[in-house]
Amino acid sequence: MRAAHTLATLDEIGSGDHVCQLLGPADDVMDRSRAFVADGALFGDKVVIVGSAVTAGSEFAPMVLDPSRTGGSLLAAVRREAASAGREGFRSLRVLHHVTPGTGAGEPERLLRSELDLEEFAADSGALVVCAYSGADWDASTLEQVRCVHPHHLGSRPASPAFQVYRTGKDGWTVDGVIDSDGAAAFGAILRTLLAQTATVRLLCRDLEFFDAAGMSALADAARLLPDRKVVLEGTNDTVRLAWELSGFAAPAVPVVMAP
Amino acid sequence: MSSPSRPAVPSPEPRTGYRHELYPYSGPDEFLEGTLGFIQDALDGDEAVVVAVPHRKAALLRAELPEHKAVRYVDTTGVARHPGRLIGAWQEWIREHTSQGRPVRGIGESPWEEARSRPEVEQLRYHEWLLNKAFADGPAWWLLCPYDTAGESAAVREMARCHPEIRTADGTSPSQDYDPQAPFAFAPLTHPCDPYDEFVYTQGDLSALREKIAACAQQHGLNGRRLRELHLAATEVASNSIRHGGGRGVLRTWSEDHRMVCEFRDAGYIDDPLLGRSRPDHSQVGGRGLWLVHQLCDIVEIRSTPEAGTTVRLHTHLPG
Repeated sequence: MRAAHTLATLDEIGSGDHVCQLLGPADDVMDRSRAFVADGALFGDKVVIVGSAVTAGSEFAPMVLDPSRTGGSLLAAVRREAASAGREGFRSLRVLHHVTPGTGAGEPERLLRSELDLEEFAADSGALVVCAYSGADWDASTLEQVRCVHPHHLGSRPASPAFQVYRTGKDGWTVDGVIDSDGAAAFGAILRTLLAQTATVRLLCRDLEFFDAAGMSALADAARLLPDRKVVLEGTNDTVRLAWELSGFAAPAVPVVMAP
Repeated sequence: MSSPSRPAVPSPEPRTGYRHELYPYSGPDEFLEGTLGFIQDALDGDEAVVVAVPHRKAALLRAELPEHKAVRYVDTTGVARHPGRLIGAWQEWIREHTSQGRPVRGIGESPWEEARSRPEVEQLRYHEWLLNKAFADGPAWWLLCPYDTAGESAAVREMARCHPEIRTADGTSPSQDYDPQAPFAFAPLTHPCDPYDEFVYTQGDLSALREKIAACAQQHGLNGRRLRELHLAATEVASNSIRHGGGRGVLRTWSEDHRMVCEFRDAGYIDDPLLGRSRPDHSQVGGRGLWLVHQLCDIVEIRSTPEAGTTVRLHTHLPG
């Protein structure tokens, strides 16, 4: 069973981990990449580095996966790499993704979709994925949003966010922590992204403390946004269910099911 | 139903709107005289009656008048000691009967004898005062509030300030102490008990705020569901400070009289005293925060003025 936790160093990561690494101004991308490649060699893993931060002409050229050449699907590319890693005799695949801000409309949604895809990929394949973000390149709300869809955290802000959404099993997602007014917008965006792909989203909530009013509104609004969608929350505690009932959302017009 | 001697209450003039009567009595016999007379008048007029009184008083009434389709005894266990939940409860009790098209009367008595603390007593009295505003524009109904003047801490004058009418053996008359324009006369808040902890919070501090509260709660054995509910309520109040109260607030925590108290101060102003007193529905945009606070905390004290800002105190009974 996957579980969320914070990491002190990259040495602690293991198969199936999906790590959000926040880089500070003093962090050198090339040094970080070198250490990552060395760890991969140590454990017999195939290493892939994604991103324009590490150029194709550098020492890492053989392992660089240029996003512009993946045909628009990073997920398909890393899946191919994971499949070939086994055939090539590697233990597993480890991916270092240097994430850089894109431009254009819909960029935050695209980034969230990409991170949820990578989370699903890591959980399902056992590959290790580290997503490195240079803090100075990102606005705080986008960073907070992407931090919430990584179960593991490392770097200049290693503390876990107030809530996390991560993959559990083949058809569900775990939600833990507290979804309050600080995180409600991020939670709503994550849920809308999941509901855009699946008619019914299962959320396992055994370690979810509570939703506040803003969090519940985000849940209800996301569930109602598209027709014929449903959100099923399993393993909810009595506080989550009581607050939902008290807030008036436990109504047929809100396609959310809460179960103990 | 037996026929106890009843106060000679003249038939009221046909009236519209909400009627709210105080019925001061002394002892079980006077309680029965006044309440049974009120119920009988209702039944004679084909009105329904909702009875919301402490168990002991309900047992007295049931012995004289069993529940039937026009007289309903409601269970007040979950709300009677939580004044902030009472208006929502009355709205639901009354809605059930008014939807059937018949006029409704209510009998409501708070468990004054069980109220242990000054904040609880004051909030129960404040609830009586708020009832006049809560139902001013709603469906017409008539509430009788029996009040035992033999109780140790009986304060008839303060109660009369919260009721437009007073019922006695001689009839119903306007309360001379009730001024519909006057604000409720709150007592000054007590000083925080020493030692207390203080934490200044702003945007992004909600997790840290909950950690501060958890640390205090742990010292007093408060955990599990009760702590989660306090955390939720505290999150709502602090979020209000950040969104509407100048972007920041100050949390203080302490314990007194087997209660944990969390106090939040900010620069905002709550101009609607009924905020958070009515149950929201699923289509409502916002307005759920204070409702949740009242439903999840034992006692909630709110003081708010444009000059001094807002102070909210959340009281949680401690285990043991």
